[in-house]
Amino acid sequence: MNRFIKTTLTAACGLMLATGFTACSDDNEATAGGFSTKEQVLQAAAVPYVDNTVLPTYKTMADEAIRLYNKCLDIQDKFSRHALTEADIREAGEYWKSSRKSWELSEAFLFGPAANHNIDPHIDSWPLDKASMDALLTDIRNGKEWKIDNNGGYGLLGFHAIEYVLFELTADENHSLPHNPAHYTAEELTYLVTVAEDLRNQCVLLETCWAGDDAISEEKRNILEEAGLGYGEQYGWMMKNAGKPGSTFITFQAVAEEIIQGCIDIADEVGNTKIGKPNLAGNDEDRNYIESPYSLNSVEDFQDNIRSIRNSYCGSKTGDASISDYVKSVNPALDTQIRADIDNAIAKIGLIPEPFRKNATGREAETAIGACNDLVSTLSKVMTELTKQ
Amino acid sequence: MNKFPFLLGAFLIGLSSCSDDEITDTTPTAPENEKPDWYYAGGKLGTAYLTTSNAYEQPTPAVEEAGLYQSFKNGEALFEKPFMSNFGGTRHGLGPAYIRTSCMHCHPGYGHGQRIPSGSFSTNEIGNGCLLVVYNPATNAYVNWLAGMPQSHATAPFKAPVDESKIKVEWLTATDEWNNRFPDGETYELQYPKVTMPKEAVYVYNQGFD
Repeated sequence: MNRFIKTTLTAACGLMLATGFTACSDDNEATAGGFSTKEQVLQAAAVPYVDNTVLPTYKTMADEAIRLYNKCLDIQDKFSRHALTEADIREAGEYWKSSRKSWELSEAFLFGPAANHNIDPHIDSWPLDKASMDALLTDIRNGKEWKIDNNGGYGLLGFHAIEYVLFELTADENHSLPHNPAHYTAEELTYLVTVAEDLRNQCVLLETCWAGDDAISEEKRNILEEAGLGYGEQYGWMMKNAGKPGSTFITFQAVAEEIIQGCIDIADEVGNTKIGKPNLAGNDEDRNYIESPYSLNSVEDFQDNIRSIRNSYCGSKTGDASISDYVKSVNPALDTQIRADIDNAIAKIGLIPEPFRKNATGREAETAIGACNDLVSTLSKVMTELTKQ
Repeated sequence: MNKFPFLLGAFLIGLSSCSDDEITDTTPTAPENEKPDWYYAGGKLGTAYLTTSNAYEQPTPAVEEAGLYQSFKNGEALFEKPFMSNFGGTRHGLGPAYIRTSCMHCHPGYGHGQRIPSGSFSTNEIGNGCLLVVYNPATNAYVNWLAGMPQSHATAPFKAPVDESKIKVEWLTATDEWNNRFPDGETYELQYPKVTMPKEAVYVYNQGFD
């Protein structure tokens, strides 16, 4: 080969080799562990999301459901001894409200175990299938043994079934009171205890699916063992360990997208279904589309749904890393907007007077729907920001 | 030694190795411009850009662009939420006999149902997407007095034609013509359900009709 060409090519090879080796770097600023900066920030957000937002919420929900069940047993016992008082019913009602508050605060993360194992429809289907319940109570009165195994469907279970037994409305339907203890029947309390036991079991199961069997109390492990429930799952670990064998999440971006989609879904449901349907009230069915009609807790429930979004996006504790950190780093105006929209939705919902059923078509409800739709729109922009390469 | 071929080979290797081999998220971004037809894996109407666990439950951009978002959400609620046997109010009217209380029961995650475990043929929980049919093997026709899809639930005062708690499912193993073995020696297991419905599961039989 011509000596000049050979020399030139040799020099070119050497130059290409040198630049080739130095050019083999991650265009996305790879740092420790080979993660891009984006992945690192979202990884940091995933840990407090699980440990400080999801797990404490579900733990409280399960703890209160255990107290609720135990109190329902006490109510049944006192009823049999003619010692039941309104204070007992009120106490059970407080445990119900406390467990339910945690549930509402969890509705931005209804993905994962709540959906995969049908725990959501199991404990939160509404309305109560009252026609079936009346028939069931007749059967129980006539000697039928009713256990969870032959439960008859979601319409007879969950928070709203218990709500119906523990609460009642005043004649003008403007206030909620503890159910009159003198008006209970033995079969109603059999039904109450069975449904409360089932709710307890499902709440403990939900916490365990996120936390793992080893991270719950011995009492809760015994509850699940006795009920024959368990999936050996640790969904929280999967979110915190995206990309590792055993996790269903390939990247922390996928984790963040799941979190934001959960927020979008509940914001939309609050605005366009929970408030929207009774607000539009095109027919009697829509007009009566009230989720918690006996405890008159709807407005606070809706606010807690949006607080669930705030906890998911911003973090629950001061100083928590969160998805907000990433969004702020790439689009600070969007982060400011989403935070404002969350606060605005909570505030506007709070202006709807109770009872919600009587105020669902009012101007306050319309304004709240608009605030929720603004939040959905902004959250969608956050999703778009997350999916940018 | 002639070093030139060695350098040329190293150069070529260097060229081919300059690729980003880090696993990055492959979520496609929402298209800003028109894409070629082949890009739309679900057709233009049925392609979405989500990879979340409930992606199938979300409207595609085509639905939103057509102004059908709220209609989609209304349909979603009808699909997912259970119906009740109440005579009025939200999602009333279940009965007098029925198979499931919601579309979601057979189509969890908007799919085609899940494998049911051994035991009773239970349809109270979401997931059992199996359709129970009773047929006459002599004629290959449905037993028409049990209906093509036997209704295993009823609202009072009616009675369900079949009691599903008495219907048992058992998974049995099968061996195929290849002895459950791939050509490379790897083995696999095959299962099929055996469904047993005793006469006592049929309401009219329990009332004395043979």
